[in-house]
Amino acid sequence: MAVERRDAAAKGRAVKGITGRFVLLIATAAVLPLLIYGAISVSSLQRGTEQSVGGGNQKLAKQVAEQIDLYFANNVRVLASIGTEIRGTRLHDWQKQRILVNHVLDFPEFREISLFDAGGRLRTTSRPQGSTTLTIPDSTEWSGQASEFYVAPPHIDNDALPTTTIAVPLPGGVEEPGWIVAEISLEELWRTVDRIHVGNQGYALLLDQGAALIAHGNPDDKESIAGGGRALPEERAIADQARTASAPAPPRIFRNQRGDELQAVAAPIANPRWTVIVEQTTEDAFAVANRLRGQLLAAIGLALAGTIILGWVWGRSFIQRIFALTRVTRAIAEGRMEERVQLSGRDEIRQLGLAFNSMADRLVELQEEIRKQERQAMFGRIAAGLVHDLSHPIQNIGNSCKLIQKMFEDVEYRETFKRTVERELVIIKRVLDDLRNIARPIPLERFPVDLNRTVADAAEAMEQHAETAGLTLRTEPAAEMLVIEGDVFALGRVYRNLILNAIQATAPGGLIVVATEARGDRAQVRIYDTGCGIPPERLGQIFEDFVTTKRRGLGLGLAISKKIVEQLGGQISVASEVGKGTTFVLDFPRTAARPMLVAG
Amino acid sequence: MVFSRVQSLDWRLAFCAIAAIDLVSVAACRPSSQPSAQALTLRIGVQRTVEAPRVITNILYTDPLFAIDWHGRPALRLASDFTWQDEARTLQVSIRPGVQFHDGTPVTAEAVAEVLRQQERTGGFQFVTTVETPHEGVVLIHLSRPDAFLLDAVSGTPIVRVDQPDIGTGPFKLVSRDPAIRAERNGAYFRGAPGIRQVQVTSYDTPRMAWVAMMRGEVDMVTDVNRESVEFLRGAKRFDTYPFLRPFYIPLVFNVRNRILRNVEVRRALADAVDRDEIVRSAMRGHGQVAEDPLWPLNWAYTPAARHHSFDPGAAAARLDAAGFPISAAGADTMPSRFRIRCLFWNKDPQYERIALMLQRQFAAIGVDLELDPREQRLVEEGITAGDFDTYIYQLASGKSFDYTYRFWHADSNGVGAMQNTGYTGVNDVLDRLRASHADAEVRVAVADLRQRFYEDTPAAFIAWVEATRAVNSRFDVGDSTDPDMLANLWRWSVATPQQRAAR
Repeated sequence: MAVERRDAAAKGRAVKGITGRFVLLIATAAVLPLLIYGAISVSSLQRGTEQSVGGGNQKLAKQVAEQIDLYFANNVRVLASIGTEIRGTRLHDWQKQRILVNHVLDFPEFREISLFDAGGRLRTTSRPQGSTTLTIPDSTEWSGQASEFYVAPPHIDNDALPTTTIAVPLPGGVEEPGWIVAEISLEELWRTVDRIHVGNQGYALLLDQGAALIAHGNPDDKESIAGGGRALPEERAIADQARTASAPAPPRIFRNQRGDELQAVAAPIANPRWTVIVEQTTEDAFAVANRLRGQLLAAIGLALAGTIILGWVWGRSFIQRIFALTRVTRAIAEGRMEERVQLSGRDEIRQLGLAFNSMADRLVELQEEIRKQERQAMFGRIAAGLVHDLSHPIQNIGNSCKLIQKMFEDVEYRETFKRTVERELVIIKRVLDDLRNIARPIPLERFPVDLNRTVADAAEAMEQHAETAGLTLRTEPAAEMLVIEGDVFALGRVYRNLILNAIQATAPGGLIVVATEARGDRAQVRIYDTGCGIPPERLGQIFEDFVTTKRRGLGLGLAISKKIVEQLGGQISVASEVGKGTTFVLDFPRTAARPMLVAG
Repeated sequence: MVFSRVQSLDWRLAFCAIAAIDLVSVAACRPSSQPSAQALTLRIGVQRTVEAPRVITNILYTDPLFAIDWHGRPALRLASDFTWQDEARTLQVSIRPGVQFHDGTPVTAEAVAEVLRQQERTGGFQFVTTVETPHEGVVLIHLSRPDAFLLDAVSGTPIVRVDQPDIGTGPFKLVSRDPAIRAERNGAYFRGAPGIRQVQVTSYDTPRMAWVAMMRGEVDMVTDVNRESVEFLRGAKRFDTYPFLRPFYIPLVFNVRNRILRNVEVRRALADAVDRDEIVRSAMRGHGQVAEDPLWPLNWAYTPAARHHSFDPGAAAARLDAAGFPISAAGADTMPSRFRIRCLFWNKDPQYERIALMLQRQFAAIGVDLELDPREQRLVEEGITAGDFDTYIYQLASGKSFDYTYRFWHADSNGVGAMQNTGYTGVNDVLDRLRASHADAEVRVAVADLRQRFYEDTPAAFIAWVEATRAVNSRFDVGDSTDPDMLANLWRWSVATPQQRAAR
C-alpha cells in the first residue's frame, strides 16, 4: 500500500511536471508575443487617446475662449457705438437717457449703461433719476487696457447671478474724452458654457482672474457660483499655466471634491483676463480606449486560457501514452507477460508502443524456451540425482533378493537380508521425502527453543562423524540464553546438514566450529570450517535446488536447509574462500518467550 | 489520495469563506432602509417679512375650519360640514369629531367659538353679530347681513387654544420660535401623520441670502426663488424646482384723483398702450402670466371676459387724441408729450425697474411721458397710503377668492380699512353685490360684471400675474408635484426613496 501511494505520488508529480512544461512551452510560444503586442498596443492606444482627447478638448476650450472674446468685443462695439451716438449728436439729456434705456431694454445682458466724463462724473445713465452705482475703472482689479476696454471683477448680484462691469474709454474729439460703462449680466456666458458638452461627463467652466467661478457647465457645480465659489487648486494651477505659457499647457489630471478623476485643459481669454477650462472625467474621456483595452485584455486572457487548456490536454495525452507504456512495462516486469500496450495515433510514440509489443512477444517466446531448457536441465539433474541416489540402494536390494533365493534356508542370511532391505528402503524413502519437501512448505512446529541447546545436541550427534574424519568439532555457545521460535527437529536437521557438509569439505586435521551469538534482537548460529572452500562462481547458486558438488545426492540439502530457516523467519548466508574455509550464518529473530523442555 | 482530499477540502472551505464574506459585505453596503435623522428634518428658508414666517408657521401647527383651495372653493379642515341658513345670515359649521389639540384636549365647538369671538370685526368678520354653540359639535355664526367673505375670513383664522395660542391642531407641534421656528411631527394629525419628523423655519434678510443658504446646504427649501436664480438649478440633481402661479399680480395703478388720470379714456388708452407680453417675456423673464384684471384667473367663477385690454398703441394714441390730449413740444428737459405722469416703484427690485423702463418706453411711443420715481419700499407704501402718486407699480395680492379684491378696490373702507387710496369707486356696487352673493350662478354673474367694469372703467393697467418657484432638496418627496398648494400640504411630504429620486 505504501509502495502504491509512493508510485501514485511520483506519477502525479511526473504528470504535473511534463504537462506544466507543455503548458509553459505553448503559452510562451503563443501568448508571450501576443502579450507583448497587446502591451504595446494598449500603451499606444492610451497615449494616443490622451493626446487626442486632450487636443480635442484644448481646441474646444480655445473656441469657447474665442467666443467669449467675441462676446466682449461685440458688447464693447455696442457700447462704443452708443457712446458715439450719444456724444456725436446734440441731444437733450432726456434723449440721451432714453437712448441708454432703449439699449438696456433691447439688450437683456445690459443691466445699466451710464456715461461719465474723464474725471468720473456722471453724465447720463439709464437708471431712473440718475441712481447709478457704476464707476469708471478706478483700481488695478479691473483688467484691460486703455486702448481697448476694462472689465471689473465679477460679483454676485441680489439675484445670485454673476455680473460684471465693462468700461469703454471714449476718445476726445468734438466732445471731451469720457467713458461709457455698462453693468452686464453674464447670463449669456453661462449659456455659452452650458452648451459645451464633451462626451457624457465633460463640461466647461469659466474663471475670472482671481479664480472665482463665473460659469460652470456641470449642473451639480453650478450652485456653488451663487455662494461665491472658487475654482479648485488644480483648476487654478492650470489656469495660471495657460496664461503664462506660450504654448497650450498639457492636460492635467486630478480629482475633484466628489472623488471623480478629471482631465482638464485651459485656454486664456485675452481681455478680460479670464480662463476657460474644459474638464472631462477620465472615465468618460477614455471610455473607448478603456473599452478597447478591456477587449484586448479579454482576448489575451481567452487566448492564454485556451493555450493553457490546450497545453494541458496535449500534455496529458502525451504523458498518458508514456504512462501506458510504463504500466505495461511494469506489468511485464512483474511477470504478467500477457500485457500489451495499446497506443493511438500515428506518431513515434505509437511506433515505440508497437516495438515494445514486439519485444514483449519475443520475450515471451524466449522465456518459454528458457523455461523449457531449464525444465529439461532440471529433469536431467533430478533424473541423474535419482539414478545416482536410488540406483545403489535398489541394486543392493536386487542383489540381496538374488541371494535370498539361494540362501533362503540360512536364517542368519535372512536377517541380513531384512536389515539390508530395511536400510536401503530408508535411504530410498529419505530421497523421496527430500523431493517431496522441496516442492512444498515443510511442516514445522514452532515453539520457543534454546538455540544453544539445539546446537549442542546437533554437535554431539555429529561428534562421532567428525572423529572418524579426523576433524575437531567444537561448539562455542553464546553466554546468554538465546531463545527463538523454532522447530527442534528441523533445526537439528539443518545443523547436521551443515556440519556434515563441513566434515565432507574439510581435510583431516581440520577444524569445525559451531557458535551462537546474540546480535541485539537477533540470534545467530555460525558454522565455519577450515575446509577447501567454495569457488565464488558457485556461491550464488549454492542454496538452489538440485545443486551439488558431491558425486552422490540430489543436491537438495542446502535448499531444504534454507527453506527451513526461512520458514522459521530467519535468513541463511554463506561466505567462503577457496583453500581457507567456509562459514554458514543462520540469523533468527529472538523471542522473549521461555523455551519448552524437550524430552530426549 | 489523502493529500488530494485535503486539498479539495481546503478549496471548498476557501470558497465558502469568500462567498460568506461577499454576502456580509453586500449586506453591509446595502443602503439602509431607514433614513438618517438629518433627512427627517426639513429646513425652510424664507425672507424676513411680516407675513412669510407667520404664514408658514400657521401652516405648520394650526388648521382653520376650512381652507380656500386654489380655485377659491372652501375645503373642509376642522369643519366636517357647513351650510348657510336664514337667507345666508347664519353659517352653521359642524366640527369634525375626534380631533384634538396638540396637548390632547379635544377640539370642541365651544373652543372654536371662543376663537371666532375673539376676531376683530373687520373684513370678513365685519358683519358677525354672535357666535354660539347650540349643541356639541355645532357652531353657529350669525351675521347682520349676508357676507360671502365670511368663509375667507374663517379660512384665515387658525384654530388654537385661546389660553395657549401656541397649541394648535396642525400636522406639526410648535416647539420653539426663536432663534428659528421649530416644529415637530404630530403623529395623531387627523389627516395623517406627516412623513417628516421636524420642520425648521429660518428667516433671512433677503431672498438671496436664503438662496445662498440653500446652495450651502443649510436649508432644504426656499419658498420663493428669484426668477433668474432658477437658471442655476436647471439640470442640478440636488434640487427640484416647482413653479406655480401665485395669487399676486403687478399693476400700474392710476391715481384717479389726478386730473388727467381722472379721465377714463386716458386710463383706457394707457392700458391699451402696455405690451404685457413683452413685459412678461423681457422684464419677468417669462415667469409670469398676462393679467387682464385683478381677479384670480383660476377661481371657479372666473370666465373669459368678452373684452379686455390688448396691446394697441395706435388705438391708444387715437383715444388720447380724442380725449383732447395732443402732443405738445418738448421742454428743456422733457420729451414732447401729451402729458407727464409720475410712477412710483420700489428701487431694490430690478424687475420693477425694468417694468418701469419698459412702460416708460411704451408710453413714450404714444406720447406720454412717464417719469420714474424709484423709492425705498417704505416710502412707496407711504406714498400709496397718502395718495401721493400719479401711478405706481407694485405687487398686490388678489387672494384665491374675492375678499382681497373687495378689500383693495372698494373705495369705501366699509370697516375693512382702505388698502388703496386712488379715489377709484368704479366697482363699489359690483363688489357689494359680489359680497352678498351666495349661489354659484349669482357669483358668476357678479364676477363677469366685475371684470367688465374693470375693463370699462379701468383703475390700473393690470400687467401680469406673478409666477414663483419653490426649490426643494431632492431628498424630499413633495407628494403631488403639480399641487400649487404643496406648502399647505406639507404633511404629505416625506423623505424620497432612491426610486423616486431616480424617476425624477
